[in-house]
Formats: sequence, C-alpha cells, structure tokens
Amino acid sequence: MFSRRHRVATGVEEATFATLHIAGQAAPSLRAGLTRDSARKAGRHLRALLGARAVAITSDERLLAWDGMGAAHGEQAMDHVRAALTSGRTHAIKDLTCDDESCPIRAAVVAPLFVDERVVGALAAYGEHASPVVVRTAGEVAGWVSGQLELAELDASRARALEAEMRALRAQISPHFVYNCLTAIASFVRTDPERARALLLDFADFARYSLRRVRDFTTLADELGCVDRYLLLERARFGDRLQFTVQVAPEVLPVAVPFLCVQPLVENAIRHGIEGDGSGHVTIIAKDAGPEVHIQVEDDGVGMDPERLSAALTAGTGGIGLANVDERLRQVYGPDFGLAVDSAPGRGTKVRLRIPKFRAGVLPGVTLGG
Amino acid sequence: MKRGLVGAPRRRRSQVRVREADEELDRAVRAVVRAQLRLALTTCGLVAAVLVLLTATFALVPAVRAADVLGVPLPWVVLTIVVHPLWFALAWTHVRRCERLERRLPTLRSNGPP
Amino acid sequence: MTLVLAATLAGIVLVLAGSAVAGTVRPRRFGGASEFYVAGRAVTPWSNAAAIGSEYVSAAAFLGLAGLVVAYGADMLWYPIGAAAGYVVLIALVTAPLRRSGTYTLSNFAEWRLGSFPVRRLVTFFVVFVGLVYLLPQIHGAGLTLRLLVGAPLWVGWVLVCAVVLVVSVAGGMRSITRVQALQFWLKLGALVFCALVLFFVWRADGSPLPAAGNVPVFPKATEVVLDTRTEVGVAQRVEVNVVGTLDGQYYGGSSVTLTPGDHVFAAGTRVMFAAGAAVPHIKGDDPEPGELWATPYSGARDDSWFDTISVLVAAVLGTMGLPHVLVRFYTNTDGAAARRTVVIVLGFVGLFYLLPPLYGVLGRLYAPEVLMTGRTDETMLLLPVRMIEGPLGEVLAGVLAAGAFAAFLATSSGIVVALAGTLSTYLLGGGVASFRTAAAGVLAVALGLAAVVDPVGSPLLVMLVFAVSAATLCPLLVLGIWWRRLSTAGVAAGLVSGGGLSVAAVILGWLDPPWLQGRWTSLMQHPALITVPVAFAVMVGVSLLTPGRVPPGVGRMMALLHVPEGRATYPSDRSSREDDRSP
Repeated sequence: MFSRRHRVATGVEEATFATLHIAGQAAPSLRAGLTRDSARKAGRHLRALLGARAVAITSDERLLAWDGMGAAHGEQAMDHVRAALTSGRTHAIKDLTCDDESCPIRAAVVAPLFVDERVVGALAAYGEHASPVVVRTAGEVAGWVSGQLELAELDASRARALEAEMRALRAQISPHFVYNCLTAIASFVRTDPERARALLLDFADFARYSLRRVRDFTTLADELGCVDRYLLLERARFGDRLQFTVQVAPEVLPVAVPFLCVQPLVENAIRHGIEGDGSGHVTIIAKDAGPEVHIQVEDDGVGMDPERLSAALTAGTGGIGLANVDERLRQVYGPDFGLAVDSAPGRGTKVRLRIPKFRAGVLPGVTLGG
Repeated sequence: MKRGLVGAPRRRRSQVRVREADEELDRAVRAVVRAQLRLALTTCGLVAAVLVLLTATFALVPAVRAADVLGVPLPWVVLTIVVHPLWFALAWTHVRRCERLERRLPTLRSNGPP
Repeated sequence: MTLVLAATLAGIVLVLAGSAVAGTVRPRRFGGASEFYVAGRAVTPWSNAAAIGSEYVSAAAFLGLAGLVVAYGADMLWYPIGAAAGYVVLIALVTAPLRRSGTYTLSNFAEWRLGSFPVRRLVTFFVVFVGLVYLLPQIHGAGLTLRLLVGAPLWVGWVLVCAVVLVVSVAGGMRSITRVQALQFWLKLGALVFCALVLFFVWRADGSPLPAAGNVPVFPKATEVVLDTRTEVGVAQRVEVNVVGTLDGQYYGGSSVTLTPGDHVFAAGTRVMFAAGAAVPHIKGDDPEPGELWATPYSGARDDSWFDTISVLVAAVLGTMGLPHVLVRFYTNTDGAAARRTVVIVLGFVGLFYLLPPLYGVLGRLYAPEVLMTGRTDETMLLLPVRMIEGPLGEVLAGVLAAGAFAAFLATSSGIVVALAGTLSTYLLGGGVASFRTAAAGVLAVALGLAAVVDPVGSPLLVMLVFAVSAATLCPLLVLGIWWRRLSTAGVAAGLVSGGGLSVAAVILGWLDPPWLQGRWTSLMQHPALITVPVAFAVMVGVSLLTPGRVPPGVGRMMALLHVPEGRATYPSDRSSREDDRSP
C-alpha cells in the first residue's frame, strides 16, 4: 500500500486539501437553509476556513450564531453588519472598541449572503486587522456559503413544486369530462329523470373524491369506488358502445394506495379503447399477490406504437396521464414500482401497476400530531 | 425544512402554537392508550386467573379430579365443554368494552403543520 | 381399503373443486344500475374468521391431539385450552393495534415501529424459524396419512403436499384466498362433525363402554396388528397372542405365544393376532398411562406436573401471537375493530372444533388401541371408522376424514408459506412476483429437507419448541412494541437474542437429557417458557431503560396510530383547506 512512489504533498496542495475538507464539513448543515441550528453547526468550520478569531452569522434581522472568542461582541453584531446588509457589498470595520484590554478583536470584515440576488444575511469575520487579504477571503467564503444556501433553496422549492403539482392534480377533473357528463345527464332529464338524478349523485360523489384534500394516500376500496362512479358516468355518455369488466379480489381492498393512481389509467383506457371504431371493452383487475397488490387496466382499442407510448410516459397528454401516475408511484415505492405498459398498434393497451401492501409512512389519510 | 428560513417571524409564532397544541394531543393519546391498556390487562389477568385456578384445583384437590358428572369425569367436562365458552365470553366482553370505549372517544385533532 | 382411497380422492376433488368455485372473483359487467360494488365486496369478519380457522386448524390439531389423548388422556386437554386462551390474549393485546399499524408481516411491524435494520433482520429470522418448524408437522402428517391409505413411503406424501402448496401459493392471482379458506373450513368442520356424530351413535349402540373401566386398554375384538418396523413393546399383563414373524429373536409361524410382563421386541413385518379382551402392549419409550391415571389430570408418574402444565400453558397462550399465517390475515380486515371481531369469531370456531379431538381420542382408546402398540397414535382418527363400523360405510367415513386431513395440511402449509415468502421476498430478495415465487419454493425446499432429517415422532416436540420460542421472542416484541413507549432498538435486540437463545438451548438440553440434569429440571428444560418468557421481557425492558438514546423517534405518533381508532383521528383536510386558502 505504502509504495515508494507515494509523494509527500506540497504545502500548496496541503492547504487546498485542508480548505476543501473544512468546506466539505460545513456544507451539509448549510444545505438545510439558514437557521440558528445550521449557522451554529457551520460557524466553527467557517471560522477555520477564514482563519478568524471569531465569526458571526446573521440573518437580515438577527444574529443566528457567534463562534469563537469575545461573545460579548455578539450583541453589537447586528450593528456591524447593517451596512453590508443594505449595500449588498463587503464592508470592513476597523477600530472596534472593547472593555476587555486583552480582547484581540479590533476589526471585522462583513460580507453579505445572497439567495436569488436577494440579501438574506451576512457573514462577519472578527480579528486583529482587516487586511485586504482578509477582505478578499471573507468575500469568497461568503460567496461559497451563498451558493450552498441557493442549493438549499432549490431543494425546498423542488419539494414545494411537487406539493403544488399534487394539489393541482387533486383539483384536476378534465373540463371536457365535466362538460360531457353534464350533457349526458341533461339528455336523461326528460326521458329518464330517475337515472338523471342517480347520475348527478354519482357525479357529485366523483367530484367530492377527486377534489378532496386528504393527504397523498387513500385505500384501494375508495379509489375503486371513485373508478366505479367514473365508469357509470362514462357509461351514461357512451351507452352500450363501452363495455366494462371489473374483477377485484376482496383481500386487496384495505391496501393503502397513492391517491388517484387507478382512475387516470381507466380514463386513459377509455380514451384509447373508444378511439378507432368508436366502441371498446375495458377490463380492470386487482389481484392479491402475497406482499403486493397487482392492478391491471386493459383496453381493446387501437393501441400505441412504441414512440407514442414513450411520449405518453414522459409527458402526459391532457388529464392526469400515465406519466404522472408513473412518477408518483416511483417516488413513493422506488424505481422498481413504475407502470408497466404493454401495447402495440391494433392490439390494445394493457397497463399494470404493483403496489406493496406495506411501505413505512404510507397510510391512508390518517395523520396525528405532525 | 423551510420553516426556519430567514425573515419569517409570523411562521415562528405559529410553530410555538403548534407545539402547545401537540402537547395537548399527546396527553389525549396517552389517556386513550392507558384506557385501552387497562381493558387489555383486565382481560389478560382474568385469563391467567382462570388458568392458574383450574390447574391448581386439579393439582391440589384430588377430590375434584375424581368427581363425576353424569358418569363423565369432572376434569373432562370442565376442560372440553366449560372452558371454551368461558374464553369466548371473555373475548366477547372485551371487544364490547373496547368498542364502547372507542365510541365514547372524542375525535382527536392536531393543529400540527400540514 | 380401495373404497377408503376412492372416498379420499372424491373428498379431495370435492374440496379442490369447491375451492375453485368459491375462489373465483366473478367478473362484473356493468349494467345501468348504480351500485357501489366495492363496499359490498370487502372481506367480512365472518369469512376472514373462517379462513383463519381453516389455516389454524392444522394437522397437529386434527390428528395429533386425538392421538395424544389416546396415549396420555386428560393431561393433554390443556393444550387446546392454552391455544384457545392464546386467542383471547391476542384480542386483548395485539389484534386491533396491529391492524391499525397497517403492517402486513411481523417484520413490517418491526421496521415500522423500530426502524432499525439489524432488529428487522433478527425479527425476520425468528419469524422464518417459527414458520418453518410449524410447517414440519404438516408435512409429516401428509406422509403418515398417505402411508396409512396406500402404503406409500413417507416421502411421497411429503413431496406431494409440498408440490401442491407450491402451486397453490404461487398461483394466487385471480382467486380470493379468503373465500377458498373459508369454504375449506366449513368442509373440514362438516366432515369432522359428521364422522364424530356417526361414531358417537355407533358407540351408544355398542352400550357406551367407558375407557376408565379396565386398568389397561384391551382389544375390543380379535385384532391383527401388522408391525412395519422393528418394534419394542412393554407388556404389563400376561397376554396370549398368535405371532407370524420374529419375536425376541425367535421365528414363529402362527403358533400361540404367551407374552410375559416385561419388554419384548418384534422384528419388522411381524403380524400379531390378539384375541378379544387381550391387554394392549405399549410401545417402549412412550409410557401411556393405564386406566384411572389416564382419565384424571396430574396422576402420571411425575408429582410436579402442575408446574409443567403452567409452563406449557404459558408457551401455548403467548406463542400463538407469533404464528405468521394468523397475523397476516388481520390485514385483510377493513379496520382494527373488524380485526378484533374476526378473532372473537375465530375463538368460537376453535372452541367448537376442540370439542372433537378428545371425543376421537376416547373412542380411539376403546376401539383402536393398537396405535398404543405401534406408537402411531396420529393414525387413530383415520383408523377409527374402519375399526368401529364393518363394511363400506366405515371405509367411506375413513376416506372423508382423510380428505379433511389433507385439506388441513394444505391450508395450514399454504398459509405459512405465503406469509413466509411474503416476508422473505420483501426483505431478502427485493420484492416482486419472481422473488415471491423464489422465496415460496425456497421455504418449501428447506422444510422438505428438515422433514427428511427430523424424525416424525419428534414433531410434537418441535411444535412445543416453536411455541416456546415464539412466546419468548415475538410475543415480547409485539406486546411491548404496541404498549410501551420507551422500547429501544437495543432492548428489542437483546430481548430477542436472550429469549430465543435460552429457549432453544433449554429445549436442546432437555432433548439430550444429560445425566446431570435431574427430575424437575428435565421437565423444565422441555417446557422452558415459564422461565424464558419473563427473562425475555425483563431483558427487553431493562436494556431499553438503559439505552434511552436508542428509542426510535416519533413514538407518540405511532402510539396514536395504534390505539386511536380509525376515523377518530383528524384528517388534515379539516384544517389545511382553510390554511391553504389563505396562502398565496
């Protein structure tokens, strides 16, 4: 292992290693965003990086952490950083006074921290002098810290985007569907008022389920109940041109599943099934497979060629779409649990999904005590 | 995760409120668990008592072992015909009491973060 | 015997055909009617209870208990009492919370509750151990039944039952397993009750003799006993027999021999003819109790059997919690309350069922006492109809019972295999259809290997071992996991290792029976639960208190989920809608 070719690192290399090492230690806490906790954890490493006597990290309103000697100065830290916060530039402060004669802190360099071009806080390095080298170093370190904070913000906004997508998803009932439903119901009002009334109730139930704001999971029983309403409504519109077969093993009904993970598949199957000759047969099967549930939605429609299939799986074409269901399944259960789609032109489409009966954290609806 | 981001004093206040509400909820949950546990232990205690009493009686009182009921030895009658309905009755009572407890339970609400 | 075979085959075909019909989920074509089909299809507590009963009423209960009663009488009645009491404790401590946790297997529960990878692996190990050993008596029972019916070697029955179980558990799919099992339960209970009633009336017609009358069991009529293997017997009373074969090293060609009190050895293939009223010799090493002792509890050779009984009861009561095929069934229920109701119904079924083996045992002592000589007490129930009823009716009844026994082997085995394969495929093989099938095949292969290694006579001992291990490992994990907030991962690991290790060590020691182990200690080693269960609980609690840092986070939330009934917890929508509306 220790070959003779093992070279002793030069001074410059060593310094680089040391710097990178310290930066690496500070990075994880900064990736959690700018909080008291992250500032306190990162402060020690940042002080080492700056080679300063003490370091203060502030938000735009208050001191978050003071690391190093002379904590008494912490009280004035906000006064020190104010100029940097307002100007957005690195400032040097000399001639700091201190009651303690032996206190080595006589100067400070304050560099602002940015996220998205906006000042969110400041990093202050305290020491004996505020030499140009210290000013430059502080500026660089503050720039690096800002980079980490931007990444943290990116993480958070990604989570927010997913949440927003989920919210949009819940609210998403295709306007065409609403229009078609209401037209179909209207057509029954005179000829068969009893059925029209029943259909209206089905529509209300379907809408209530689709728009509810229960977290991300529901039971397969509820999801299939929604599919049931949906099928009845589509049936009212297409009449005998559309045939359904539903087979559900009763054992799988209590399983927790992602909200709206089957209904979009059925919607898709009806759209593709009816395409072409204008009539079709949709089969929905849910079976018990030991620790998993296997669900299959099949139509006998025109089918898809591979290109259209991959297009459908990458970007949804209206409605919630296969792509969205696929993405959410992978997100919850891991990459092995995406949709499996069998299709060929003229052969119909078969979409299969597997759902584990248990996954830590997946429970239908109930949440208590955060 | 984003909760502590700079410049959100409004959020911080709401967090404090949440924690207090959660403590209240926690107390309520503890009370439910205690009530359920009391029922469970009562039932288990009764089962243990029956088992210990039965075995002890047969072991320590020879007269009971030898007794007859309509020509069938008493231990056989007790062990095959009497005990099983007793278990069923115990279990049934337990379920009834649990369901009554759960019906009376108020709905627990959390004001925790969504 | 051909009629017996025909009746058996007809019975098995009936069971399988009935299962196929019941299990098929009928496709529903949509008409115009608005019908909320899903809710109407959920598994009801009744049908789930029948399914649990079907999987629980196993070969050990079906044949083994009757055999034990023939040999040992009243003392054996404690086993069903303990097993049924186990369900009461299960209802009180485990059922509803376990269902509410939303976990499918015990390993899932450990993962959810403790979140520690090593602990989960440890739990999986014990679950697989318990399940595998519980499979053994089922496989052995199938071998015995087939040997009795057609004289096939034991392994034929083993392989047959494993093959069928593999097909059944792998096929899964379209069928509703719950309905299949529920139907099988009713068929099995029907067969058992019907045969028991017929035999009961034959007994009444015979003048209701009671076994306690004689001191040693006697042959009710002239009987020929064929010994397939070398058999050592102990004779208590002088008895005249005709022997064709080798007795004590000397060949007899059918002449009359007097067996003197003491030990005798018959060579394999010997036929022994007993006259009516002759005393039954007992197989050596298995000292069945005569007359009065048989009929009363605590009258055997040992004075301290009260202690033993308590220990056996502790194992039976608490060990029931660890049976993997029972726990996974709770998941099928819609909620915790339904799961609890299910187990109450199971308890009713089990109590009803447990009336029967003692009846068969008593009748066996009267009409088929040769099992005491051959040592094959498990065959009692299947022999009884032929011994009690001359002609075709007896053979048909025997066939019905054999078919019921086979259905029991299949139901229990496939229940266990599905539960074990589910556990293993999730945690070892990464999940998916292929890994589930691989796991099922692997479990059966290992069980088949064990069946070949372990002597069938030893399988009741193994069942006791399973209950003892389960009571000292999985029971503390479940009970403390469900009820105690301060349970730590380190505590669970320490408790599992000490409880499981002690149980296995004790049982092995009791089985080896070294000379320095005496009296009370020997029997304690054979039934160690009275010691190991408290030790396991104490270690789990003690180590948890010492390692508060290893208590998993979020316990409060878990407790709420376990104990607050579904629907009594707020749905976040109740408030988040208001908050969300305000936010930009």
